[in-house]
Amino acid sequence: MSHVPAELKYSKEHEWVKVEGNQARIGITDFAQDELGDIVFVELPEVGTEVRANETFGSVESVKTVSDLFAPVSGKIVQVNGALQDSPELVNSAPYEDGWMIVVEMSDPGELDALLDAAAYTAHTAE
Amino acid sequence: MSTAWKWPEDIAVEWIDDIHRPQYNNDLDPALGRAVAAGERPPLIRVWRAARQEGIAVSRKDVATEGGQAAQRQLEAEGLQVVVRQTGGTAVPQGEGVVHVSYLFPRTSAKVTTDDYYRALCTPLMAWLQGHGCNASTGELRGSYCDGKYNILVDGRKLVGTAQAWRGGLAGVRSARPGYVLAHASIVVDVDMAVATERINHFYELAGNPYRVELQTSTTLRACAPAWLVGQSAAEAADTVVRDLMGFYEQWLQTAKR
Repeated sequence: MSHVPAELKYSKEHEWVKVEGNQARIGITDFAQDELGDIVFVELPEVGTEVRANETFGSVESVKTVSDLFAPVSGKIVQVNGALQDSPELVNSAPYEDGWMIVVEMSDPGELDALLDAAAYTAHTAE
Repeated sequence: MSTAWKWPEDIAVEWIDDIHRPQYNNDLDPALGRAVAAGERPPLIRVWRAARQEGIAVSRKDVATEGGQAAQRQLEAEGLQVVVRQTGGTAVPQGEGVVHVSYLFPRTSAKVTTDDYYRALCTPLMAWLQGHGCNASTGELRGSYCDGKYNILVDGRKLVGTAQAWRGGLAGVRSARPGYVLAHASIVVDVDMAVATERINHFYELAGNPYRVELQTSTTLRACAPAWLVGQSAAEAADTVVRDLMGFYEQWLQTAKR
């Protein structure tokens, strides 16, 4: 049973969003990291890069495969989790805490309305 | 394979390569994958030769650090190609005696896993190798180049490396976005593995990475099937293997659909 914190929002593509004022902290869910297996590399853009909702912003490599990462909201990246460069396994061990990936200054907070709450995301993963 | 796994309909088997442009040859995989994802091409099994220039293929992780980028520049200054591939893992040999197989299948809404794609990649390749008298199996092999659970081993030594890339969303989960799955196998047909191993270790030494490969873990198709490919150069042997694999997959897919 994967962990789904109640206070976060989720995309159907298994990214989570923590809203902090006009900023969105973004990572991948516990369900997703479990499906991926041991993560060995996370490729993220630089601070200042513009991202658009539903477009790729990086990639994650596990021992099984490389996958695209998609942005759940649009805006400018204001923080990147540099700790993942040396410790990508944080995505496995603490996906909602030390395993966060980027913080985006949202250009359209209305995009949050399209995301799922914890109950809806839990139902989505059970489908 | 899981009960959700199904081979895509109407898979094309094609020989598509450009042996004179190493990085472009490798980048044909994502270009073809995007066309498959967009429905502009049918699902594809691409059989292809590595470029003629000797060298190694590395992952993006390998060249993400300054050390890795310096190692790449140094090997290239030594006249070797360093191709950066789409899939993960560590360095694998490249050169005229290497043949690749790439599955480029559209993402499906079915609950399929990376294991499903690895099995779909390895099962026919092992049958093909058995047909040439090779005792093939899958498994990890400590010290082998680009080690993984789905190495194809012959008599316990690594002959084929495998890897994947999922585009259009995370791997192993359903995605509403268009995308494709690349499942890739690299077959060492005829390569001097002593030299290739030294090159791989040289790259990681230059990169400041303690990872090393052990020569005794690897083998070649020429060594595994000594009665085949007799009298052929490495390039000729690669051509022969590509043609043989094309015919094999055409037949295999007929059986798989039944």
